[in-house]
Amino acid sequence: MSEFINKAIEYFEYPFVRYALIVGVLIALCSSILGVTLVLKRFSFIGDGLSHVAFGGMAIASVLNFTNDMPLTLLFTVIFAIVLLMSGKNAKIKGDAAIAMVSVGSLAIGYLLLNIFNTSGNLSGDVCSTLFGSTSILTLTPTEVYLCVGLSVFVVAVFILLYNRIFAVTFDEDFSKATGTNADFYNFIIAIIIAVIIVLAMNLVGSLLISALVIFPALSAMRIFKSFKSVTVFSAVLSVFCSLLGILTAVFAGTPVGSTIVAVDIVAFIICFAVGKVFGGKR
Amino acid sequence: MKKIISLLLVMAFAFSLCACGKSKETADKKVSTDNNISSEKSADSIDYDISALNTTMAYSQVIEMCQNYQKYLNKTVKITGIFACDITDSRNYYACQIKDNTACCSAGLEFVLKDEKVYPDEYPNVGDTITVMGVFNQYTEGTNRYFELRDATIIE
Amino acid sequence: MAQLSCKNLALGYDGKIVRDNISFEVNSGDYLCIVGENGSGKSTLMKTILGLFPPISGEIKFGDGLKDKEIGYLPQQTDIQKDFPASVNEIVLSGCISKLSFSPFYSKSEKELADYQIARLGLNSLKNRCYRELSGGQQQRVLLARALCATDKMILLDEPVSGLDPMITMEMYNLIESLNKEGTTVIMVSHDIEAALNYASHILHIGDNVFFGTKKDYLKSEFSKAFTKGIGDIQ
Repeated sequence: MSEFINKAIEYFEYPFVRYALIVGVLIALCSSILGVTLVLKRFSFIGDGLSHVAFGGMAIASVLNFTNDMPLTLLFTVIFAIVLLMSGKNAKIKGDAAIAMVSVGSLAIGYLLLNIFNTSGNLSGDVCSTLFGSTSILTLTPTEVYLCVGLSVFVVAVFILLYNRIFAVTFDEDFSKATGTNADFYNFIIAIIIAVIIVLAMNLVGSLLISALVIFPALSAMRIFKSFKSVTVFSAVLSVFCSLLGILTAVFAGTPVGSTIVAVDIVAFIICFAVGKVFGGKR
Repeated sequence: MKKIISLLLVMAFAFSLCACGKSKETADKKVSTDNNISSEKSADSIDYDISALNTTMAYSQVIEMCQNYQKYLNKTVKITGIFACDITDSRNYYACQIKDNTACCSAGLEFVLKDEKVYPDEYPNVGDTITVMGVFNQYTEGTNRYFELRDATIIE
Repeated sequence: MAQLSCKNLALGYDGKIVRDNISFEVNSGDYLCIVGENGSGKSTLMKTILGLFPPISGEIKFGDGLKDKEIGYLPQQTDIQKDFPASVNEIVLSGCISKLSFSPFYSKSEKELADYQIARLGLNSLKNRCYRELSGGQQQRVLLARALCATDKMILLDEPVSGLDPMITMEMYNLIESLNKEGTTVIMVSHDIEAALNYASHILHIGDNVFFGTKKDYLKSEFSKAFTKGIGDIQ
C-alpha cells in the first residue's frame, strides 16, 4: 500500500495528471447532475446525439482552419440541443427519432468533410481520439483547464439556483406552465447547459462514451435513493468518485482513460442495483 | 440508516477494486532493461525517464513536453518506443515513437545520434522497440517548430 | 362577479377548431363538471383555461380575486411521473413553484403550506415515502395536495379518478367534495356522468351542442336524457 501511495504522489507531480483529475472531476460532476433530469425526461440518448453533433462542429471548424475549435463546436451543439430538447410533445418527428437523425447525420457529414478537405496529417487519429477520448484528458493545456473550471462553476451555480424550477419542470411541465412558470425558458437553459457539458465531456471520454457519464450515475442513484435531492446528490458523488478512480486506474495501468471510467461506472451501477434489490423492499 | 450502509458498501467495494488495479500495473509492457521505477535523478543523471512510464503516461508526457518545451530544454531524457525513420533528399530523420492506448495516434521524439552512424546498417530496424537517451532540444524549420533529442545514444 | 367566465370560446390547436361557441361562468364555491363524449374537447377546454393553449377566439376572464395563474391543476398522470424518484414532500412542495418569484429556494411559509396540505389530505404518514412506491389513489392525493399548494381558491381536475378502483374512487370524490365545502371552487372533467350528477352544482356538456347550467336544469334538458339513459332516477 505504501508503494502505491508513493507511486501516486510521484504521478501527481506530473502537471498533466493534476489537470486531468481536476477536469475529470468537474466534468463528472456536471454531467451527472444534469443526467438525472435527462434520464427522467427520457432523453438519455441525447448525450450521444449531441456529442456526434459536436463532432460535426469540430469537423467544420477544422476544415475552416480555425485555431480553436471550441467556440464553433459549442455554438453548433447549443443550437441542436435547443432544437432537440424543445421540440417537445408536438414535434412531427418525436424525440428519439429526431436525435437519431441529427446524431448519425452529423457524424457522417463530419467525417465526410474531414476526408474531403483533409487539413490534418493524421485523420484517423483525430477521428479516433474525438470518438474515444483517447488521451485528450491527459494532454490539456492550462487554458483549457481554466475554461473547463469556469464553465463547470457556471453550470453548477445555475443548477443550484434553478434546482426547484428544474425539478418542477422535469416532474410536470404542464402543471408548471399552468401555474405560471415559464417552462420553455427553463427547458432552454437546460438545453444550453447540456450542450456545454457535452462539449467539455468529449475531452474526457470522447463522443461515443459520453452517454455513459450522463446516465450511469443517475441510474445507479435511482436504484437506491428515494427523493430527487438525494438521487441528485448521490449521482454527483458517485460520478466524481468513479471518474477519479477511472483516471487513476488508467494512469497506473496504462489503459485508455475513457473506457476505464465507463467500466468503473458500470461496476458501480451493478453494485447499486444489487444494493437496491437487497435493501429496497417493495418498489 | 439503510442509506448510509448502502453508501458505505458501494464505496468499500469500489476501494477493493483499487487493489485489483494495482496488480494490473505490474504487468506493464516494459522492454527497457533499465528497471528504473522511480524517475527523476538516477546514476546516469537522467532528468526525465519516460521509458519507465506506461503507455498512457509516456504518451501524455511527450505531448506535454512539446506543449511546454521551455521547461524541458537541455534536459536529459530517456524514452522507449518504436523506431521510425523518414528518408528525404536533404537528410534522414530518425524518431522514437509512442502510440497511445487506442493505437491510433502516436507521439514521438526525433533523435540525432551523438556518434555518426550509417543508415541502414548501423541503425535498428524500422518497427523495433528501442530505448534512446539524449538532450531535449528544439529547432525551427520554415515556420514549424520541431523537437529532438540531440547527442543521443541508443541504449537498447 | 364570476371567478371565471368564458364567452363564445372557440377551442383548438394548430389552427383547427375543435369546438366553438362555448360560454359559461363559474362563481366562487361552485362545483362544475365538464362532461361529454370522448374527443369532444373537454381536455382541450381545460388546457385552454389554464393557458396551455391559446383560444382561437373568444374571451376568458378571471375575477373575484382570482388571478389567471392562480388555479390549482390536477392533470392526468404521465408514465414518466408514475415512476419518478421523488418524495411526496418534494412533489407537494413543487406546487408552490409559482410563489417563488426571484428566490431560488422555498421559504418557511411555503414549506408550512405544503405541510398543511399534506396533513389536510391525510398524507402525513407518506410524507417521506417515494412517490413511485405509492398506489394510484395515494398518488392522486399527492397531486391534489400539490394543486392546493398552488392555490386553494379554484382547482381544475382532469379525470381525477381514471384508473382507480371503486373504493378509492369514492374516497377521492368525497375528498373533493369536502374541499368544495371548505370553499374551493371545483372544475372537474369527467367521464363519470353518474358522479358528476351526484356531486356537481353545475354541468357543462360539450358535444355537437353545448349546454351550460345547473344540475337541475341539465337533468330536465334534452342532453341529459340521451346521456343518462340507463342510470335511472337521479334527484
